[in-house]
Amino acid sequence: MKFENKAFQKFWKISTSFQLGIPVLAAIAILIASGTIIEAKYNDAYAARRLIYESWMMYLTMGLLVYNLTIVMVDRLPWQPKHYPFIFVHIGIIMLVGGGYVTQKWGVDGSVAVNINGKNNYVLMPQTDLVIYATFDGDRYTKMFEQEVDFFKNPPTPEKPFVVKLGETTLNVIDYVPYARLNKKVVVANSPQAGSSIKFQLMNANVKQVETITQTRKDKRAEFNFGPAQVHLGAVERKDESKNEIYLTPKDNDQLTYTIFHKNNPKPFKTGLIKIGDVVATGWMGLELRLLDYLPQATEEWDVVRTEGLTPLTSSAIQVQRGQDKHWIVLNDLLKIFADTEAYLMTYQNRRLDLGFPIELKNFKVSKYQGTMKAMAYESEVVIGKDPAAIKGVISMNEPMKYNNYTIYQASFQEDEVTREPVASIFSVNYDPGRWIKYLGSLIMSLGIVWLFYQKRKRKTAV
Amino acid sequence: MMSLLKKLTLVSLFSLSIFAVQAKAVTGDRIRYLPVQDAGRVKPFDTFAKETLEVIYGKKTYKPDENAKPIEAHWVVMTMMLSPESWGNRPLFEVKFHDVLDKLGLSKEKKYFTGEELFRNEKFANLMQELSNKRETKEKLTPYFQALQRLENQFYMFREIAAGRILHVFPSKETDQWVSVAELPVEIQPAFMDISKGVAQYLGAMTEKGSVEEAGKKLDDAVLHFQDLAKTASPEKYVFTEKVKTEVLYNDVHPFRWAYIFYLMAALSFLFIWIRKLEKGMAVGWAFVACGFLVHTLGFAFRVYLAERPPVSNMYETVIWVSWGAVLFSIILELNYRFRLFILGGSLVGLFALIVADSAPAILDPSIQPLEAVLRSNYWLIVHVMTITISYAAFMLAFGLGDLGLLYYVLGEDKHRETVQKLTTGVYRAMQIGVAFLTPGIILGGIWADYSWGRFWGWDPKETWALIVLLGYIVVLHARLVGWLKNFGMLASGVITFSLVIMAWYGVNFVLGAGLHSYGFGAGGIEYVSVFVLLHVVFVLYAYFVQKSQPSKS
Repeated sequence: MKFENKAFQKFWKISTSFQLGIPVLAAIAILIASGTIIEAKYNDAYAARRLIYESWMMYLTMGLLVYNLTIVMVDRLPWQPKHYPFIFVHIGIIMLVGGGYVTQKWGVDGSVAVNINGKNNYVLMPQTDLVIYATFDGDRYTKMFEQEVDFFKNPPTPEKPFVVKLGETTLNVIDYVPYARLNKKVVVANSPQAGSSIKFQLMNANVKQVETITQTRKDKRAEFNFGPAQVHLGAVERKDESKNEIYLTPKDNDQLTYTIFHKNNPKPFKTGLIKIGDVVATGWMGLELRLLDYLPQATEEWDVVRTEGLTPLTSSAIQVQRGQDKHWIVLNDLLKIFADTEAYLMTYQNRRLDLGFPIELKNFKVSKYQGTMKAMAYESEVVIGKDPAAIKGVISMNEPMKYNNYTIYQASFQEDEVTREPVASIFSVNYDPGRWIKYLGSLIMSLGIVWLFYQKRKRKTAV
Repeated sequence: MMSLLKKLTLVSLFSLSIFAVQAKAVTGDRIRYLPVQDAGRVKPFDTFAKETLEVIYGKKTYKPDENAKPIEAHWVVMTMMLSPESWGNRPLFEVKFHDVLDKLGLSKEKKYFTGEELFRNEKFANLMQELSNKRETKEKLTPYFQALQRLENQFYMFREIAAGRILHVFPSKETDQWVSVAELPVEIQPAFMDISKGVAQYLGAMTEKGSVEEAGKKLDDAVLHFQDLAKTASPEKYVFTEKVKTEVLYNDVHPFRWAYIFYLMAALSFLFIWIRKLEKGMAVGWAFVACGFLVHTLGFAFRVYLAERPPVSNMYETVIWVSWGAVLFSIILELNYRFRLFILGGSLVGLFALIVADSAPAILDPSIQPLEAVLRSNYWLIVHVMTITISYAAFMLAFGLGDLGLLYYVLGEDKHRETVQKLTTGVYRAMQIGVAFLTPGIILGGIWADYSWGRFWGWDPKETWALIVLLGYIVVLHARLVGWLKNFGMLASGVITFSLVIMAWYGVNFVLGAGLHSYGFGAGGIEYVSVFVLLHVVFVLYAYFVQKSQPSKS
């Protein structure tokens, strides 16, 4: 094509030439190569996606590619038969890029974990939300705040915190750790609403077990199940007489009483005051209870250690500040903050999308190669959907199931840490409105390439 | 055409005769055919012993000292079990990683160490603790920890073999897991004792020049008797005699070694013809290529039969497959163009790739392993993996031809203008073939991923690098089309762009080690591969400056 305007003619020429095309292709290659390096560095596909594949640089280069491919086609107008294969290839590529954009923009790609004999209709999505509830009486909660947050891209710092104003109270998110190794620890709390915490040891000739029990709030009983016996922290309330039980009950803010029950006996075996360091014989199996620590007001907090990259043991976490107090919240966990009269419940969580129908897992099987622990196949027996329209089936590797525009794939499974028996199946759930565009684009492009090969080259220079 | 067919028939007969020679039975050999359950499949004891010795010693045969005759793996492993104490003071364990040797306080001059030196060492326990601590963090293992892991494996293998716990020889009625030597039912134990005695007597006869023939026969009988018992106990689980025989034959013949020997002969004869500028004699080279290609194909067929799947599931298998494809493409191009250069390039590339595959068993694992769950679809393995990797074959050929062409630039382009032009044609054509396979390969990969993971494209490193390779070659082809790349540029691109293939093929699995294609991950060899790539970059630069300094007449 030729244009009168000289400047525009020059611009047009650059747009249609390889002076634009080759640098664009090279830029895409370099960008996506750096994406794979980022993924390897942090061992995290999400990081690579957020930093590279869904970044403005990527959109820009992809936009330039589509622009270049289009302009080159327009430039050849009016088309002759010899142009057809090249036009096919270019349209195919444009459709592939376009289809990819549609998928990313409007598609759903999440995961659902379903316990064996359990149901779930929520898909966990990659987006994260910060949600805060408040309570004045400890029972009824009101949602005060809900907002999508992207701390991965915009991490808050003490200097530039993410500020949440709730009436009089201000909560500042002051830190974000993408990869944190976590340990629980118990710390002293100053609020009168906080619960108590004990650390104790149960011991006899064979057993020496140290455990910690912490109440989530004042007077809310917490317990530890020790097989044949149960240890409770809170008021005495015997429900199940078929068990041996110990109740440790806070009294007058800084004292602790104990009450020991033997099974099948409604009357306490023993009761009294217990101080740190005291040992009490329980009267069963020669077990003794030793109190190692007692904090009348305490909360459980996360101890966060930054790590270099993602491992199966890491999670992301944010730090929240209220006044002088600082607390960590781990992704998909919740935090309780006690103020003078009210308490806040704060969650930092992946968004959950309601599918509108449940996935029910009837059974899950892992078959192994003969004589090894190496998995040969996974199979989930499922019922998907609500009753009249429910369908039964088996989902396995390479064999997904479809329901209401969603496709449900076998992705992974969870096993019991001790018995190594599978306990839950993890499906990836996917809705892809761009699928047909990508498939059609692939087809058109492939046809174009085959055609190109059959086309006799006029220019011999290439070969 | 007839003459070609005749030649091919002769060639096949010739190469089949290799197998025949190798396959003849020797007394005392039956023990190698004893079926063993290991790593998810039933294999002959011969394979088990070779793989075990490779883990422990790094080689398939044991050499007590420089000049000694190598001892075969099955005898080594048998004696480990029958009298482990006799191995205590022999340098049996290969340790190469310097940091590990440092921490154990051992000399870095040596490569092999005795069990006493390694495991009676207090520091060994510390290292194992270090490894287990690292594992608890669930982080990726660095090369140092991978070396520790191998040490742990060597220790474990030796201990378990010595205890007879790892050699599963007798099918169990109740479970899938076979019974190991240590747990054999009481009534079966004497039969295995007979094997043990037979081995001892046979080895004794070998060293003391007793009646080897008789001792061998006794041992064979003991093994056959044991197999009969196993078969009677669970006839339905003991049906693989043919396969086990074939596998021992495969181990003996070592087809890929023969293939590269033939390729070497072919390359040498082509070079000779060419340096002497002979008009005739191409048939000799062709015959060698044909033999090599046939044996190469047969070896591949062996693996298909033994593994019951297309053998393209790990680095070793793809190197075999890609070199096969490179030779095939060179044959096709040569038959089309008759330049005598493509077939030379093809045999050189095939030779080089097969030698690499054969010489690094610790990095390129040649053992036949069961498939990861997600790959258990022969249809998709063939359609996606084989198309993608066959494109690497074409790029590999372009690389070899590019190297040859640059060599001519170094020798002086003026004198070889015609040859350079021919090689450039070869590079261009090979790249076209590569792109023609890679593009559908990537799309098919997308369709498989959509089908099995639920997304067509997910920026997984393996798929991303395949795309980068495609972009690289498309840039080169287009740059040639618009005249940006002259002959030199084309040849240099053939060499340089192949680095992208190396990254996609080897780098993603062995260097990046990230993403969903984790079933192909491995470790080791980075230093060799980097030097290889770097040398070629230097070579291209050198050729460039030589070419610059020659005043071009065109």
